[in-house]
Amino acid sequence: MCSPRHSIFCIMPPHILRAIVERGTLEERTAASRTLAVDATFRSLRATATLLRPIAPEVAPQPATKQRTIYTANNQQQLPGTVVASDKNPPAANADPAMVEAFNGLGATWDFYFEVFDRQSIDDEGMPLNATVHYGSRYNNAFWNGQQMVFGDGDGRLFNRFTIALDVIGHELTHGVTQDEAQLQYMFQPGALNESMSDVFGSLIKQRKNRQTARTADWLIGEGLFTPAVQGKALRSMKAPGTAYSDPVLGDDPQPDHMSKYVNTYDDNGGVHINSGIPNRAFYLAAYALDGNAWEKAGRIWYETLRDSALRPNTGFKRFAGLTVSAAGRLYGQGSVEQKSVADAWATVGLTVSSRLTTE
Amino acid sequence: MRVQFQTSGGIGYFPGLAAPRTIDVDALDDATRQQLTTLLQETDFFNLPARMPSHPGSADYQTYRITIEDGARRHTVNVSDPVPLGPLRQLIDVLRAAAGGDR
Repeated sequence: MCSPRHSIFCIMPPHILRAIVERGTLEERTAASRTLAVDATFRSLRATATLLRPIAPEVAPQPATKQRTIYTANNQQQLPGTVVASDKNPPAANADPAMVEAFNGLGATWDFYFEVFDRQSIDDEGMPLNATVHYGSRYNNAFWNGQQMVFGDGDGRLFNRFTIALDVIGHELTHGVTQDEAQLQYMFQPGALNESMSDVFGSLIKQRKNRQTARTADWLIGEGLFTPAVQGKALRSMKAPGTAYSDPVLGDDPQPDHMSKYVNTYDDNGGVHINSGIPNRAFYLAAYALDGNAWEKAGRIWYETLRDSALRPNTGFKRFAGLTVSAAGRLYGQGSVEQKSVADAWATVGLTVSSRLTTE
Repeated sequence: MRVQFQTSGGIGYFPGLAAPRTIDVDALDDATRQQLTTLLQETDFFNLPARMPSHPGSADYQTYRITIEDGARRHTVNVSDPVPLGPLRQLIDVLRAAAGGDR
């Protein structure tokens, strides 16, 4: 699709775009490769319709700004609830921790997408970010309802408040990004990829905030959510799926770390939070091999894959793996270290990508 | 009357919390049993659809699976958060408490 920020690429013939993909700067290659990917989605049709409209008077572009609003459900279950903070009325640092954490977490997530990927909010068009805290009574969950984030307080016995972990806030908001870009079905392998995308970018948001590299980060998801009564470190481990907790009440972390351990189940929407361990580990392995800040190379490759029009709502692991390898080739060159690291990462979790993708 | 109540989904899958729990309604205290009976009538439980779709694009929501056996009648309902305010929401809250919360 021809983004207005890269309109030059809309009029370039494919062979020039391919030359840019091969020899341009990273930014140029990113934009050109995005344009090269043929986009036959409804979004593309909408963009075409926009281009065919009469030219409107020129309007100065609006500066990118955050539009955060935090609501409280006052321990009821009515959404969105009552406004307690916004960018016009930011919370004091010593105000209600759930409100402050949600406000700052949305800010860190917005900053990440804008500063790293030049993305303006969930929809890349400046969508306001809304979150409700204190949802329900002793409510043990956080979720994305298709329009906003929702955070419970936890029961205090197993779970703390769900705003306590920045990666969980980034996880929920990334569900919105995935919904906007790929509409990955929330079941079985596409659902596990949807979940993995949220873990990947949730973790990257935390790593960037904490100034951690791929090799210094702990790659845990939701650290701090468990109370001291729980025998576990976090909800999940991207580095070592299946090892995050082993507790008499919660049970044992069920995540597989390899395709040979893939869990066939109808629970959990077909194991979306279970089998996400496989693509999660592949991302960790690629990021670790590439070293440095994980969002700069591995994160860029996964983000480009999320935006790839070839990523369809029913995409499974194997096809997704191939798309990441293709994206790495477009961004860093065919046969590059980056592309090989991504292919090796998938092979380590039991998904071999066709060598055609790395040699053509 | 027997009730089976299961909570699944959410931001993580915890095997220990996912098992269905059986509630023996006859063993409940009078007030809770009366409340449950009233809510089953108000929701018209046995005529509710078996599956109520989740919001488009939503994720990490909890899903509640409620099965009720009453004499010859047996019906299962699956519904996901956020459940609008009303008798079905109240029914879930009562069943969750009767099942021992999140244990």
